[in-house]
Amino acid sequence: MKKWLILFCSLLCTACMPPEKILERQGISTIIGYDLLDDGTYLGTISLLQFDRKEEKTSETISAVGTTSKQIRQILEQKTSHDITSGQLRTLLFNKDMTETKGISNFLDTMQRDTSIGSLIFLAITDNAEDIIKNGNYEEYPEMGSYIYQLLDKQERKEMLINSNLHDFFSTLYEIGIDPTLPIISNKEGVAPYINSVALFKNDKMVGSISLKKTMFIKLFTHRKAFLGDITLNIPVETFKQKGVSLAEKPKEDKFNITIHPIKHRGSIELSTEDEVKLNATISVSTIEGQPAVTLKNKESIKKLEQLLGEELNKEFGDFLEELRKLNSDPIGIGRKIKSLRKYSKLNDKDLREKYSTLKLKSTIKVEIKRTGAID
Amino acid sequence: MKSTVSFVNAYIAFFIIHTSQIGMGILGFPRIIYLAAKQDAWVSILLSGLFISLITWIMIRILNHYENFNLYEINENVFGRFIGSIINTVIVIYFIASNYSIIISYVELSLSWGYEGVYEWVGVFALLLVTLYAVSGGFRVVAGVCFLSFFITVWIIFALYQPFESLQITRILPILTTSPPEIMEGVFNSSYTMLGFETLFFIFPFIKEKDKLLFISQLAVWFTTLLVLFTTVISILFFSSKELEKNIWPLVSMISVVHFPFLERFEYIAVSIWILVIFSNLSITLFISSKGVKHIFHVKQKHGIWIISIIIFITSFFITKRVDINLFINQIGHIGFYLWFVYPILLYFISIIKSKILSHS
Repeated sequence: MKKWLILFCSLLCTACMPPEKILERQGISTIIGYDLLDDGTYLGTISLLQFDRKEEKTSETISAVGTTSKQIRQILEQKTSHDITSGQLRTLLFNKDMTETKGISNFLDTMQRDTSIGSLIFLAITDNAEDIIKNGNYEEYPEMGSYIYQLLDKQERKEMLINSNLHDFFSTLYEIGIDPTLPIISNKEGVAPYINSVALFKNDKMVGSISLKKTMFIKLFTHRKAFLGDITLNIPVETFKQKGVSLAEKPKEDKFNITIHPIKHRGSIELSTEDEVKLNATISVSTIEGQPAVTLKNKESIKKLEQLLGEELNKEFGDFLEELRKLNSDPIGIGRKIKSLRKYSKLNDKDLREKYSTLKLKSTIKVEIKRTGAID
Repeated sequence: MKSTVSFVNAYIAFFIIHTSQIGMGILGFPRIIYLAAKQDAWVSILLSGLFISLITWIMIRILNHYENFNLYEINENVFGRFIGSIINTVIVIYFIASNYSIIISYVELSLSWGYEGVYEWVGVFALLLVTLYAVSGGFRVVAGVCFLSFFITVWIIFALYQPFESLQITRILPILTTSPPEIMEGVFNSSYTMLGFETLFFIFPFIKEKDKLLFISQLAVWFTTLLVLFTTVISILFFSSKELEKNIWPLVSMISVVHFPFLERFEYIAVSIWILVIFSNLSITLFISSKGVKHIFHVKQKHGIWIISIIIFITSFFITKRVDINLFINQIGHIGFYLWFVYPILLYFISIIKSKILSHS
């Protein structure tokens, strides 16, 4: 009896598999793009990786029109002999019109529901998703999906992009008091698509965009460990004179250009009084370029330079905060901070937005020059 | 009464109690408790841990009083053959239902993560066969299953270091804003996950060093409480509130962020490995229920195992929908709460009163 049981178990427990998947028969989708059409339906475009050695092409692009993403997928299945699988799906592209008018959370519901789709796929916005996927320039990658994934992944890891995968998007979208951001990808004929700017959201609708450089101010307060990206400042020479910072040589032009490389940062949001929020941040940097060269020997002049850089950044940050407030978008999470206080913990999204628009925002950014490279 | 041979060392009780507490419940637990107690869920867990620790102490008191008896024998001793048998039948039905709930919820989970399209009964059948085989080996095999399943699966906690990067401390703030009734509701709802310590009632006769058992069982229940506390706090910090309320298995969804250079979708591995976690649950519940059948109906334990397995297999055709499974698990949790949180206290006082009366006369 026991032997039979063992035999039976080993047969049953090892062979319980859904229909086998053969690599050559799979159409592995790596990117899906959605465009809003004039009649309210959506055009979905996918790029499929192919493993058939006989074919020269490594990928194929197909598109279909439908109302839900799974319907689009069903129609796409009609157009290819391969099984479309989404286990390797890396990027979702949404067209700008759609994000501005309809919002994208409806489309993302299925991505969360579908267990074959991981929560690490990237989301991005573009003018026309179909054009991007059909664009033939994708550097040395086998197809567009892999290229865009690498582009976004690299940029997120070591440059100026805020985390924008499905999980990050959802957790900021659903959290009261913070709004998500997504990268915007641009497409030009003859070149590979590139990251152009970053979209700001109010709930799940896009309301505006900022340059990549400004994402630094968001990361300063939301991501302790993220890299901020190098900061380049162009400071008029006159301000130098006013502050009394001495330069090694006299600049020929009237601007002094400096690039600093952030090493560590720390930001804090504090509600100081009833309607005033203090945003304090400290960045330790190393200077990596100065035009013209500046000598950073003297403690006094370093201190003055630090002050000057801090003020310059703070000015930009102040403008940025105003811009955000005009759009009533809160990617920094000021609302979230307010909600975490006992007094305001019962506020809902609408109340918080109202409060956000009337708040006084006071910001201070301190810069510490920690290192200066191989020379002073 | 016949004397039971002492079988295993006391430290094995740690693994048995701990592994029968941890099972399907913990995967969905953060959400269930969050729905009740919001960001103060951790208070509920600590309270429930405290409560369980107290009950474990009471259980040990009862068991020490009767020395080599398990709960079935104690019930008969305290209430007499007739009423005792009724209570024992309820306990047996509870364990069968608990075994059943574990099987169907695991089958549901594995069908959602990767095995879509497979018939439910295939999964149930496979799980039942493996369990049947383990339990027919007797108590030592069941204890071995618990011991191994602990060491094979405990490392999954360390995979949680990756979600650590996206935790937001503000999500748990402000603390202690939930009202006490809501926190108590959280304690009540946590029962399905925390249950399993009742196995102590049944494994007691098999333990060699009974004086160490109080310490070991306390260690086990507190280890479980801390583990549950840890995963819940991480889930609350990881998900925004609306997201946590949506996910059926927050722990699995959280693990889906884990990825390694050689492995992109770790959650599939975790879901498959979870079979080892529930394997110990299944073995121990089947063992206890078959022991009860043997005791009540005086049949061989081997036959009891078969009868129970067949009953579970047949009933598995009835509940296959998500909503039904949810309802069923809730019911088990509630019954379990009364049976194992309330009943031991009652039993303790009844047995004290009874022994007082007996010593007077």
